[in-house]
Amino acid sequence: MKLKHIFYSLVFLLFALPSWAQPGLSPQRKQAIDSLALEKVRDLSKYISIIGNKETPFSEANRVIERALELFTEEAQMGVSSLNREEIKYYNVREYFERLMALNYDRVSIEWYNIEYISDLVRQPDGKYVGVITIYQRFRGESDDGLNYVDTTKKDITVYVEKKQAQINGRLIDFWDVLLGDIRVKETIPG
Amino acid sequence: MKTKSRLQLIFYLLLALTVTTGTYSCKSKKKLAQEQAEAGYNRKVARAKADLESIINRTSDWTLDEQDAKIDYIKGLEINDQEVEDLIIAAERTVLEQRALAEEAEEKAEEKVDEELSSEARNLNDYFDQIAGAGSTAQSKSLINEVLGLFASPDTPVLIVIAKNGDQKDYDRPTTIQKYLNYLRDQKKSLNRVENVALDNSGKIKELELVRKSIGY
Repeated sequence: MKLKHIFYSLVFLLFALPSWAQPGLSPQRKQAIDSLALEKVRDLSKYISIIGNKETPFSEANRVIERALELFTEEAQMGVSSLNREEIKYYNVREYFERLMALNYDRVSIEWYNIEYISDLVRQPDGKYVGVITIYQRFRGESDDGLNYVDTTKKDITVYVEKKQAQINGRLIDFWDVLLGDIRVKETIPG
Repeated sequence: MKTKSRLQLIFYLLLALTVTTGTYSCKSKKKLAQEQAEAGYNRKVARAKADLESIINRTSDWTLDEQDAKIDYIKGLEINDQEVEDLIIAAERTVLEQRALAEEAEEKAEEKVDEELSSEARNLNDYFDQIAGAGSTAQSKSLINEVLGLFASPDTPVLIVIAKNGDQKDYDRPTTIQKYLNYLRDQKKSLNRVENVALDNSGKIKELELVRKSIGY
């Protein structure tokens, strides 16, 4: 009987807590913030493809790296995997972009797809919202000497959303700041 | 002996009476259930007709999606009644017509907003779309330089509204016009349209407010 009570209490808390934990966030606003975070991830995907593309001039790639860095928290790390090793290496994002730009292939294409939330944005005690977005990355590197490498990696991106203020022409403006945190490798498969 | 026969007779009469009453009672229960079922079905048909008529006459308070859901629900009842079937067809036609009217009204509202937009705003919307769709780096760079000429400085603030609820607006992180134009060039997508333009004394744009195109007018 006691166990039954505990079970029902847990079920109640499971459903009730998230709605209590997000005071004042209307469904319309929540949807707008969800979309904003997904858009930031899509933006990052495009920046990565530009930085990795061997046809992108050096100065342009560097400019784009600076823009891409604006999407991340300061301490964010990017996981990198390879079919040729078991270990997953983690680099801070600037180092990751620089290594990406310098990859030893003649042609590189990187495509992200199936970008979606696997963990909804949930309000934390400090007022920030944290969620996780998953993506699939298809990497293809080709060299003129016939060296080809192709893999598909599933990655999880932690997303932080925080309400901040900025002064614009003497007025205080509230805005939603979306920042990406660590990007962790979950799985890497050939092709 | 006579008394015994009488008692037997009374017993058989009572037995017959009980059996007859029981059978009658069973029959009346079945009949009652049947009558109740018929009444229930008739109420269902009447309710369905009333709902469909309110859709056709446009007197219901339901949204178009709710009207669609109501029609689907009535279809699911599988009422075998020609009048209901005719009403379903008419109701579906009404909802389709209303949807077309709503879309038309939305397009007109968009056109009206475009007409009301200042020439600067219309110009900027066109520029943004052209930069996002530019076929070459040279073309996009040239367009960006043209646009920057309209602004007080490359650092002119740009606000992007991601949601609106009455007068309350939710913004993305503020950016500058230079960064925004490069964003259009890099991302090759133009998700926002001009909402407000603030000019300085020399007629240059000193602040720009954009809004997600996905937000309705």
